[in-house]
Amino acid sequence: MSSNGSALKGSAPPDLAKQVLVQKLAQQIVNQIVSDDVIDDKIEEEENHNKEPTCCQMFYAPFTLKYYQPFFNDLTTKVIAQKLWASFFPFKATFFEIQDGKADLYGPVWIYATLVFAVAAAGNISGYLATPSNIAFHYNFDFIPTASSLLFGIAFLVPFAIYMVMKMLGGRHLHLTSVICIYAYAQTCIIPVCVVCSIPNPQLQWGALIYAMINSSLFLIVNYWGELEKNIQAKKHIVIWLIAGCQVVLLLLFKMYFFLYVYTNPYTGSRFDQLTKIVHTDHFFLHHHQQH
Amino acid sequence: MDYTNQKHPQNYSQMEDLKTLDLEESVSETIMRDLRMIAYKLKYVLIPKEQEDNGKELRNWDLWGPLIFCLTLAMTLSFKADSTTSSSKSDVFAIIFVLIWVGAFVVTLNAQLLGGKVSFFQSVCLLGYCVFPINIEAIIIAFVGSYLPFVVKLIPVIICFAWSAYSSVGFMASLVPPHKKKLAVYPVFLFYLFLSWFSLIV
Repeated sequence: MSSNGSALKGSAPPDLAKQVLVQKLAQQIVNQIVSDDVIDDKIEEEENHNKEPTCCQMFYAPFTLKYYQPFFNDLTTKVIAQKLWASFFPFKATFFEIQDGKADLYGPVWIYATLVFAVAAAGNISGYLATPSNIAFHYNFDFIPTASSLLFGIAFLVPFAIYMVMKMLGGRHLHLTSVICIYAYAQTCIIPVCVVCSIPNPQLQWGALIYAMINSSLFLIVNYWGELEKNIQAKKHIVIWLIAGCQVVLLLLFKMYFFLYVYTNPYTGSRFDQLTKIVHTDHFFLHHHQQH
Repeated sequence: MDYTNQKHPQNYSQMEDLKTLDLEESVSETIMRDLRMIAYKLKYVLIPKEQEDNGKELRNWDLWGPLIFCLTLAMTLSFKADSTTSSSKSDVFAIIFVLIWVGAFVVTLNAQLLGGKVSFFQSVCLLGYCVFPINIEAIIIAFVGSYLPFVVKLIPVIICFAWSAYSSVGFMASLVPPHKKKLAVYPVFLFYLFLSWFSLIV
């Protein structure tokens, strides 16, 4: 080394030459380390672009906000209004033509939230109007947690069941989010029905709930008719009965839990016309049971 | 090492900071300072004319105000719970508390997903401060509600609900692009409707 140094820099003193050499070496080493890092980063980036997401990443993706961004991206007030309007006219299969059938998650969340409020409020109002003035009425706060669990539960489970059944029977072009979306818009007709049901007349309530049942089931069936006809042909009755059955059960639950108290005789009336009378629970099922 | 001198300032900058050392103030001073900050923010949020800088004050968000208003509302409404509802007081308290925080969380998430670029806690802070009018109406109705007919009770409820909604809608609507305004505003409206409804019926 020293001979090299002295050979290369014959004029400079050997100490200075050594220093210069050491400095150059150090610089080269640092450069090497930095460029290694940079190269490593670049390689990693490229790999990440080309790599498939790992199992772990696919698992926790639904817990990030970015995962849901596509469902809210192209929404405008007009699109949502169109979808809501379409849900009240079940005979026209136009739902999947709005915005090319793009699913949105704004509808499901806020329709079910409004429904929770509407059902809890209307159930209590109808109970209040049905109890006679001489009995103290107790507002039932439990309607809210019950309604939330029921509605947000069916929001996911029933579309999941429909999706599974349709996929097993051969349906194509189905996405779970799109089934969740259309199922939620099918429930919008229950909101005005709840407002009507706050009047504790049993005929009125049954009528309104039957209308809701028919409207929501028809909406789903008519919009899926194309899919059913093409891909599922023979077994489409299974899907139709499943959809109708779920709606019937849901609305029976509503009637039996939220709108249980009615008054039967409007002339001996309740708080509704401010005379004293007797409160009746809806005897349709209780009667039947007592006969056995 | 002179351990007895640890609290004393070690240099000039620390001597200047001596006055603002929180550990040296009395407790009442700290509390009054926090309360003054909450009152200032409250005036700022609820009286739109005070907002000359277009909502920039909201960048100093804090969650003390929302917590105080949430607790007051939940306590006021659960105070009368036993006599007028079939649920226990703790049920009512729990429902209101969860409703306010989860509601604020979901409304903020909604605004963010619709494309609004706002810090999460700024929005929760604003929604919490706008619960104050609902607090007022809950207290009014809790104390004088049993002597008033229903229609008279409706008046403060509607006024306070409109006040809350108006204060927060201005902020929320400015976050999202114009064709999504109503989508971002409706959840806020539903949130305060829910809370006003509770203060009315209890």
